Amino acid sequence: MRFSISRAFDETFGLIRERWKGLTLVAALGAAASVGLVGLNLWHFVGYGELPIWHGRRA
Amino acid sequence: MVNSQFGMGAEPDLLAIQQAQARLFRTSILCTVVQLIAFCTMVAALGKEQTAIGKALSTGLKATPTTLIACVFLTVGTVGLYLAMILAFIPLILLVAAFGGFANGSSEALAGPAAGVALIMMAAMFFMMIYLFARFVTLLPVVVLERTFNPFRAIRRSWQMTRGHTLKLAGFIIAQWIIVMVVYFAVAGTLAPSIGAPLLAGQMPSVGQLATLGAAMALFAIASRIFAAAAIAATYGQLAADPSAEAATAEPAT
Repeated sequence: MRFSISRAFDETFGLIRERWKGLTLVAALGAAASVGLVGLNLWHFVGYGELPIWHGRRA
Repeated sequence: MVNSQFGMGAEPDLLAIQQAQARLFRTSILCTVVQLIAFCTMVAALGKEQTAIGKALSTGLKATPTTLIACVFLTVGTVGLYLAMILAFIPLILLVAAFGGFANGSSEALAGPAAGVALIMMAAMFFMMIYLFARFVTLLPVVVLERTFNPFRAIRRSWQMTRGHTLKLAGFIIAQWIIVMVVYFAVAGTLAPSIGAPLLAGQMPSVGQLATLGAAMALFAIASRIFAAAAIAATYGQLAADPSAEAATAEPAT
């Protein structure tokens, strides 16, 4: 049996229609975790922002 | 004066920046792993067994190290192939240089042929990338759905499964990219003017506008990942049903 592109598209959208709730939950959790990690990192990065050169400019 | 203001603090500050960069690097690695776990979980949930999300997550977690090792191995292999390709193009570049620009004694005469060689090289790299994508598109379902936790066996199984279907698989992959790009440009094109207009006027966009753009991009990222996972699962579903793929599965055992 040969691979069929049109059948692959049919099955792709069929799978999405069947399982969209679970898939959305997992994808959203993954995205949220990534955003959280980046946010935490930025928080630390902001912490490093207190460089003397910046103090100098403020002064 | 300068020393008292910057000199003493310079070394610790550089250290702090290096630490922050290292932290950024670690975070990006961690984000990749998290995304990979989520993607493996989605593919696990899309198998024929219609696995519940909780069980799919457990499978996704188990499959992630194998997938990560296989991906690192394939990335290193691809970089090696690209380097070999560049080395293979060197004689062609030298030939162009010998018969083109150097013969005329001008560097401008070399620009046209050099651009041609660069274009051929880029096209070759693009086709190589599509080819590799097509050959390893079933790698993740092989690990997740067949529970092949040996990365090298999974690579071999994917290679065997996709044999004889490369052209159509490449067509399917390119069609997916086109769909995703069209949706991306539609979303970005709709929202960009609301952000771009204040920026062009030298003002910051409002928090609401930035939040709308962020939310739209997040939704697009989620939707594109769902689409990619479903497309990979559908591809695997078709190829796994192929009797020749079954024969390929039996081959390593013998």
